[in-house]
This record gives sequence, structure tokens and C-alpha cells, in this order.
Amino acid sequence: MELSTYFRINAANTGQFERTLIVADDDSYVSYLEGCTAPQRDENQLHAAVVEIVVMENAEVKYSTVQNWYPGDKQGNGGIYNFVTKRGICRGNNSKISWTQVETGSAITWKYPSCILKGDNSYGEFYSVAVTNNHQQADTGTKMIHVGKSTRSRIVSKGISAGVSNNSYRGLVKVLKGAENSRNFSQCDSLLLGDKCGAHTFPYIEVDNPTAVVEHEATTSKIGEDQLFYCNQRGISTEDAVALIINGYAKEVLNKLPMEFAVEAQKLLQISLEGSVG
Amino acid sequence: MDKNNLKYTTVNMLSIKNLHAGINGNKILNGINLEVKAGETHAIMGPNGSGKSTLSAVLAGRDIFEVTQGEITFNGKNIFDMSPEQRSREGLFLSFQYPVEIPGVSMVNFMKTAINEHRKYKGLEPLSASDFLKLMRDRKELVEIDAALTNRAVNEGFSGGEKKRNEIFQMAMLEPKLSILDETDSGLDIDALRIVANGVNKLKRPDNATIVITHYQRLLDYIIPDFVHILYNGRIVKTGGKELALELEEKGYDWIKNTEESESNL
Repeated sequence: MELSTYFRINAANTGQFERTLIVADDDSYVSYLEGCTAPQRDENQLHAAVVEIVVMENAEVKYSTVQNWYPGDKQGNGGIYNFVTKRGICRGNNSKISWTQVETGSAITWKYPSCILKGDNSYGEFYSVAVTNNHQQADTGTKMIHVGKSTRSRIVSKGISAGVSNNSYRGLVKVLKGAENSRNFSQCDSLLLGDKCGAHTFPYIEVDNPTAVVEHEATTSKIGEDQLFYCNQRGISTEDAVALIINGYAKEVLNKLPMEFAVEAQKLLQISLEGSVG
Repeated sequence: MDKNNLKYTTVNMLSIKNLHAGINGNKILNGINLEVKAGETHAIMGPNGSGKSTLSAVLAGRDIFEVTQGEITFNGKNIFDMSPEQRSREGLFLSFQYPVEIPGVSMVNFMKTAINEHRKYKGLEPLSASDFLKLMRDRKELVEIDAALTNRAVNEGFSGGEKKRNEIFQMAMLEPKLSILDETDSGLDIDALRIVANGVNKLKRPDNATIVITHYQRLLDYIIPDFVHILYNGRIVKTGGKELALELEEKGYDWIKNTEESESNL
């Protein structure tokens, strides 16, 4: 089943505190997409949502977010504080939760969609692209808690920072005693535009079972003047060159979004970074 | 009167007049004059630090170099009024001495974006996917580039030779009016050198021109220049035919240095 929702904070001086609960019964599948926007205001506003997912045997939930709350202006005035709790439990055997998020908005984002992998052979995924520009701060990541046997998790996080923003990945991979043969792979990449922004990674790994295999890879790179000039020399404008590089970098995550939203998300990345180079 | 008419009929593609340029306050080019017409191949030779790469960077529009004096016209237009991407779309191509790696961006995507920008500039519709792939296939054969290279990210993990070949491949794709090959021969073994030079020769037409920047005469065995210029201390100190490159090879750059110094002592 495919579901789609849209959240908007319209009134001034209000907060939004919605609550979402998804229960996927045995052998079911649901793909849920949420989008969020808010108009420009000078005051900060709070968005504090709770999303919970329960997945039973052989069921799968795919939860995708395109978050574009108002990020505040260039000087850092206004914008949404986006403090969100997202958690899921793979309760049945062979169950699966897949979180995909494209975070471009909000003045401050704190958000760590997590998976408790309780059922044997259950699988948790987290794919994230977080873009920060101007004075934005994003602190996001995931928790993968391996409880059942042969549980697997995969984390792919791509941070893009521009302006004077800060972008952090904060994540926990925890393998409990009984989680025989569990497996995790994490990849955290950071891309910097300009020399006044920051990228940080805080990966926590706690393993209590010797048969577990946990891998963590991380890279930090910068869009260089020479890369942009190379594109310019071939006739590609700086703005298009940045878009080309960003989309190449975020491809792996964007590909996880439902088709029609992947295109939209690509455009959104471009808009969020407009004017940040050159 | 006749003389004036003649001047108008043989319009220069590129005209550099008294060009002075530098970086961070250091002067590198000290009054370059150069005229390039369609159909010509010019070689610019010179020792390390003579300003060869600065000249190509200034032509392509790298903004870290400051132009302090002089003028450059390309196709009759003032080059300093144009951004680097506009110069490219006008038909100026630089084969980089050190091609840049762009991870995550496939060659196909990169070339497609570039080609369509060029077409847009000329008022043409974007190429269809099938026409584009046909063009890629066609040009790959021309420059004998491995098909697998174009499936990878731009220059990422390419060997030195593959990067240079990839430059010539891009040149073949974009069909520039003026190509500047900045030390395209450096880091190439003899076979790769021949392939690259063959590619350049196949792309030569009466309506385009090439500037070959090199240290060594070797490349000029394959790409035969109409003119050879010797750059020293940011100026062209000697111009001749292809035999000048041979003379230089034989006598070495000290020959130039010595004549220059004895002249300045006069």
C-alpha cells in the first residue's frame, strides 16, 4: 500500500505536535511518504512530532520524509525548530523497516529515526541526505539496536554543509548479547561547500556479541574551486556544476525515494544551496 | 586601401595584444602578442616557469590570475567580457595539464550537460538520449578511448594517460573552434602520445585552430605546427616554423636564456 501525507505549519506563534503510528501486520507492506513546509516568519516555531512503527512477521514498512520546513533567513532569523522522535520496532521475524529522509529545511533539526531489530532475520535501513546552508544546524542520524539473531542494518548518511551551517551525523549501532551473527554497515559522508561551514560525525558502536560484524566507513570532501572551474571550462555554469556534483553525491539515497519524489528532492537540494557558491 | 581590405578578410580567431598578467602581485606574463587564424596550429614552447600555463589559464578565464594590461579578442569579441563557461560555449577548449577528478558525476552525465549547454547557447534543442549515445560512441572510436572509461565518474581513478585521453575525447565531443592543449604530452608513454596526437590531428579542420603548449619537441613530431613560439620570462622571444622546435631541442633552453641575457645587457 502507498500512503502520502503533507504537513504544514501555517499560523504564526504555534507549534505542531503530530503523532503517527503505523502498524504493519503479518506479511503486509506499506510505503509512507511525508512532506513538510512552512511559510516564512521572523519568529521561531516548534515542530515536535512522534512517529512510531511496529512491524510484524514478514512485513515491511518504508518511511520516506522530505523535510523542507522554513529554515530561517540568511542571517539566521526565524525558522522551525524541528525536534522529532522517530522510532520503529521490527517485532516479527523477517520484518523490515526502511527510513529514508531528505532534510533540507528547519533552523535546527534534531532527529534520529531508529530501529529495534527484535525479530530474527529482521532488517533496518537508514538512508539520509541532510543539507544545511546559512545558519542552519542539523544533528541527525539513527540508532540500530540489534536484539534478534541474524539481524542486519545498513546506514548511509550524506551530509552537505554550506554557508556558516553545521551538519552532524550522530548514530548508535548496538549489538546485544543474543544477537548472533548480526551485521551492520555504516557509511557517513560529508561534503563541504565553502570554508565557513562544519561537518561532524559522532558514530557510537557498542557490541556485546563476538559473532557480530560491524563496519563503519566515513569520508569528508569539499567541492573545490578547481572542480568548478573544470566544469566551467566545458561550458557548465557554476550553479549547474554544483547541482551535478551534489546529485552525484546524494544519488545513492535519492534512488531510495519513490520515483516521483526523487526528482522533486533533487530540485529541492539545488534550491536549498542556491547562491552558496561563487 | 587594399591593405585595409586584406586586414578585414583575414580575421584572427584569437588575437592577444600586449598581455600582462600575474598572480598575487607577481608578474608572470610581460607583454604577450599572438595572433591565431583558423586552420593554424601554433606550438608554444618554453622552460619551466616561463608562463605557458598562466597563458592558457588566462585564456580560459581562471580568476586567480589578474590581468593588468592588454587585450584579447576571440572570434572578434573581447574575451574579458565573457565568463569561463561563455568562452567554452564560444568554442574555446582547454585540455588541462592536470585534469580534475569529480567523484560521483558520471562521464555520460557530465558530457551530456556540457553538450546541451553548448547547444542551448547556439539556440539548438538538447540532444535526445539516443543521439547523444551515438555521438559518444562515434567520438570514442575517433580518439580510441576505452568504452569503460566513459561509464566511470569524471577522471576518478583514471591513470595519467587515461586522463589525457579523456581530455581529447571531450574535445572531440565539443568540437571547439580553438583548442589549447596544455602539456597534453606530459605523463604519456609513446603509444598513448601517438593516440592522443592522432586524435588531435583527426579533429583538425580548416575552420578550427590549435595551440599546443609543450616542453618537448617530441609531441611536434606527431602534431605538426605551422608556427613555433618560444616563451621566456613571460614574453614570446622567438617565432619560427617547425624547424625552430628542432633547433631548440638541439641547443636547449640555455640558448634562449643566453641570447636574451646578452641582448638585455646591450
